[in-house]
Amino acid sequence: MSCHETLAILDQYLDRELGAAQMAAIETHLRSCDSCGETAARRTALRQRLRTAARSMAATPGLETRIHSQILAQHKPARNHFWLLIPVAAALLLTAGAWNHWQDGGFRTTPEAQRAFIASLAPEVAATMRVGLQQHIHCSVYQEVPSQFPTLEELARGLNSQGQDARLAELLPEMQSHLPAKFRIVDAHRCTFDQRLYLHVAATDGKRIISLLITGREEGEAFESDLRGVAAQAAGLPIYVAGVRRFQLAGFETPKHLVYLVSDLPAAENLAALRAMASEMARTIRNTET
Amino acid sequence: MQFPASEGSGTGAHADRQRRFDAEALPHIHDLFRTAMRVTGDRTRAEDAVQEAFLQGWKSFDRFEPGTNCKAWMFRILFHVIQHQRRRWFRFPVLKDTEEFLEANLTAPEPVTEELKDEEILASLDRLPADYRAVVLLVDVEEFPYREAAEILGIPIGTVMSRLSRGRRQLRDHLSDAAASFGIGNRGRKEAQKQ
Ligand SMILES: [Zn+2]
Ligand SMILES: [Zn+2]
Repeated sequence: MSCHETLAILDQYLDRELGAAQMAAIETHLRSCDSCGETAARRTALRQRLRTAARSMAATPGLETRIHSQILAQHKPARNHFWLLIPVAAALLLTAGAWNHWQDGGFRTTPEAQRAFIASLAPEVAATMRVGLQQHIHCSVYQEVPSQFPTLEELARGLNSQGQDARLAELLPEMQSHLPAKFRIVDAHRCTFDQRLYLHVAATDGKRIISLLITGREEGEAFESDLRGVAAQAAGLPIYVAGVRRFQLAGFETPKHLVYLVSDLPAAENLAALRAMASEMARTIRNTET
Repeated sequence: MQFPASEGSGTGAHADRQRRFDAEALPHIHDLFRTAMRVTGDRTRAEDAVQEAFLQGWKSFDRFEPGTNCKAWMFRILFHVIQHQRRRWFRFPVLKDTEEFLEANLTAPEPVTEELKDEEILASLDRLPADYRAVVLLVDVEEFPYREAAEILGIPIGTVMSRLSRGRRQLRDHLSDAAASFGIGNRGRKEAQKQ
């Protein structure tokens, strides 16, 4: 075995992840080759140092007691484990009736079933609207809302630490100030669906979810090309709408971005909300495009 | 640490379950915590993640097969919890796995570790992209086999190997730079490579 071949699988050798024949072949080479032997020795030494250094940290004192008392407080073991999977939004809808709930996408607890539901709705809206709808369902509807709501500043910091253009953090207060009463922003992150990147801001009033989704506009994408007409204007900016089942969409575009507000509000309220925030947001987004 | 049994639960299935959980799952708290700490980079989030992992572990402990690896099982739950947090707060860059498996090991420097301090080694570890760091922690620190690391992270074994290879190489790179800055190790070699 050559040095080249040895070094290519040296790590697997050191991890004991090779078959017996390869293990033996490397051992033979290492006995006769000082250079590879030295490399192996240094890697082993580094790994030992890393292991010792990392393992020197212990759990925060008191954490174990805290966990133990939390477990004791559980009294009864859970009967089933669906709680791991049922999204909060779906759980809240149970009272509205199971059939409607199923129609609205509930009870889909596996990623495959969720994707199938999204795919079933896709043909019901125009292609440009699909871009916003799919991610709202994929990310907002089928994920739990966090138990502790961060402040807008914390959310902005989280986005900025992602390499997100810091100017886009202005969208958070712009959105919050125009949301319907009782809604507050609970999450802001970047996420992907089918390799498309979104900036995603989610708000809730405890029952319903509103998503603001911003994504790069791809070649040839324009609302007017596949929607019949403009629903409203916000200071000259055309706003387009679509709806399917309980989901309502309103959207506008800038030269480089598509922007959506998706929710389960009545269509008119969803449109009014986007209309209220659109011109400020369009300015903020355009500032990042030059 | 030993805990007193809860009042009136000294016998029966519940107490038995509790005893098994205390004996099999809870002892891994330090392994789970240091991993969570290095993956999230934040003590509060690490504590939350570990606490949530134990709670989920407790609730689904009936599904844990006695005799199988409880540490791997708890790590799987921990990473599920962390990935969930990560999605929500999105503080970690997501890596693409498009690059082919590295052969570049050949030119990576091999730092001499004797002269390095623990803090330097850990600082280099913390500089790795989160996805590489997770694999290095699982394989190098926690000594999981590739197959178990793949199950814990829910990724293919080939991805474990490529992330491990790249993570270790970056670690060696960082540490050679650290060693070189103190006038030891591989400066000559490193400069020769850059030409
Ligand atoms: Zn050799
Ligand atoms: Zn999202």
